[in-house]
Amino acid sequence: MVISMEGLLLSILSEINSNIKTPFVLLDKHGQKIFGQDLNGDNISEKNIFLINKIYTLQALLPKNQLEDLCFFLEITVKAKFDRELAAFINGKNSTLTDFPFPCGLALIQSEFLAEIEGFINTIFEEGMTARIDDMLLSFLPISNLDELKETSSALYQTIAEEVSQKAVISLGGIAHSQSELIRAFNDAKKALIFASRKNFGVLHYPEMALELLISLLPSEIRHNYKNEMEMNFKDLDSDTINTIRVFLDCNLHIAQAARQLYIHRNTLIYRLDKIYTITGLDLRNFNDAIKMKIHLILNDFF
Amino acid sequence: MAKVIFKNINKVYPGGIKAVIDFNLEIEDKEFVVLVGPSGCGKSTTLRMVAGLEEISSGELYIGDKLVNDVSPKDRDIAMVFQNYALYPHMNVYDNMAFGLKLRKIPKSEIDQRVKEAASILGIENLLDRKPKALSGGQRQRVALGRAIVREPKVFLMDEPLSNLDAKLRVQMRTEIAKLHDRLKTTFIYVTHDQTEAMTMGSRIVVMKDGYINQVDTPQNIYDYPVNTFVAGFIGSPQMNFIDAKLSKENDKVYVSLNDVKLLIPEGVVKKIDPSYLDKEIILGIRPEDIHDEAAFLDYFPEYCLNAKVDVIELLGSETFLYLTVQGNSLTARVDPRSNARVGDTIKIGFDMNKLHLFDKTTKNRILS
Repeated sequence: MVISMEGLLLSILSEINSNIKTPFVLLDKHGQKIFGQDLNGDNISEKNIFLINKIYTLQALLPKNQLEDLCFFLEITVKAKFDRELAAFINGKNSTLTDFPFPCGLALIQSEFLAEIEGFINTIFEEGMTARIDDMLLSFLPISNLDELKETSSALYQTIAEEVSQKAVISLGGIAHSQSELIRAFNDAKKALIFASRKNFGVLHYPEMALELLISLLPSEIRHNYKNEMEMNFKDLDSDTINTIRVFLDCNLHIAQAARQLYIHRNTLIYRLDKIYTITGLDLRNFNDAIKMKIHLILNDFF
Repeated sequence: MAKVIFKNINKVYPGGIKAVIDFNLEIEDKEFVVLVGPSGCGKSTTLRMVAGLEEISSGELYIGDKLVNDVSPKDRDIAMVFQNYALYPHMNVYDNMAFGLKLRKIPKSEIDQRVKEAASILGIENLLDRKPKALSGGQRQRVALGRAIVREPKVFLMDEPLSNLDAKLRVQMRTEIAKLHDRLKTTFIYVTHDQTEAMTMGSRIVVMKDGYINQVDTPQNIYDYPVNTFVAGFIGSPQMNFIDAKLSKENDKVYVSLNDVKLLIPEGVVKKIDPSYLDKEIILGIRPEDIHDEAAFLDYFPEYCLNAKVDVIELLGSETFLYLTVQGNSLTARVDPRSNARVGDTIKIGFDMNKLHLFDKTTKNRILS
């Protein structure tokens, strides 16, 4: 059996309705009834309710406080059932969903404050959807462009840092146009999250972490030996110098750009690079030496 | 509006790296304090500890009367503007400014009022419907400032907010932020690596190096009375000239010797020198604008004069920089553009000895009281 998103919502509501005594009606944002029998009486109360990814109006013959309880019950019950359905869909299991809103940008979020973050996403993206799977929050954003997804994720990370805690990771899976692409995006984003658990906070993007992923596939003994070997040369580098190295590598070995980002004169940067060469034997202006340094930093950061 | 008090604040990262060491400072309500220093000095880490984005390893941080070490960022009543403030691309300017208030469940009418007021302060009323991709760098930064203003925080925190802007826009925004502070009458803490921004914007400047505060004072006092050679060299452009020298006393007069040349130190300055430095090696500091080549100065103060070889001349229109060699030392002088100096000439120059700076050769600390 296949079913649309709204069909799924209606089937969940029918199941709930058959188990509770209180009749209720659900109206869409245009006031059209989408679920329930007409209610008769003067004391019909109503309240906005957020179900799956839309705001509806819930009506029932209940005092206000009881209506709030019913809203709360419906929201969490629908959410739990929908999350299960979405988990099946994204894991490629037999799912009944047919009209998933493609294309969409997928971002996985890990934090101690997933409930708050889910609230932010629902406020910020009217047509966004979220689902909790394991200890992750999956965010399906109505975005069809990767640059926009990256910028949105940076803004979202800033919001999370400012509002709750900077100890959050957003891992981007990319843009999906179909269920198979969504499954791939989900798996990619999960792989990138392996690195988040170490010491990285912020936004991760799987396609930009090829080297990290390759290194993670090496036997730990080889990683350990290589790390020890390199550390012999790097133990004398102070934090300022390490920061210089990171910025220089992030700027793709571009001296003027790195100097600007470090707020130093290009000659100062050249002097520092010469000093790094003297200490480590690696000339970072040389691509092969820069790669060795990058591997050293990855080993230090993640392993 | 609130005081911000740092009591013995330390930040130590895992692995023992000390980013901020024994930071003590009391920022008054409505004050505009600038943290300045080279990269890695701990200024951004300090700001991020105030914002709650970094944990404080030890010490106490107060905003107003409240100890906030363990208070979450959203409950600190602060607003932060970063160098790279990402805006939501799917939202227009209005919504980018408003959504922080929506998250706090502020009533719609109040959100509307605050956003429009902030837009008017920043002169971006006509941009409210635009998406971020249709904005210039300066306009984006104004929106980021607007996001902070609508929150009506007790304290504004700004981390290099102008670094991404081009030079002309940076000067313009510098003035606008200073005006904004006058208008909002709120505490501002501003981080920059740019000493010109620090000098022009702050009511007080905190100069940091290697995690330590080196000096806290008004811009003018920092410029006129730097506590050590680091502060003296960091604040001022071109930077202060430093020359190894020796103090000596002859016939009740005190001189500073640079190899073969002796320059008389005026009595007013001598009074400020600790006598134990007589006959000792010291570092002499002289700012480029305190080196003169005009005839009137040279004629009036012959005992402050010495010869210099002109290596390079930079004509900047309103002033001229002379790069000189004096007794084996390289010096920079900022002189009048009508200067007659020519490259390769040996010319007479004079130090304004009343503006002299003297530093201990070992500790590099100021020795004039």
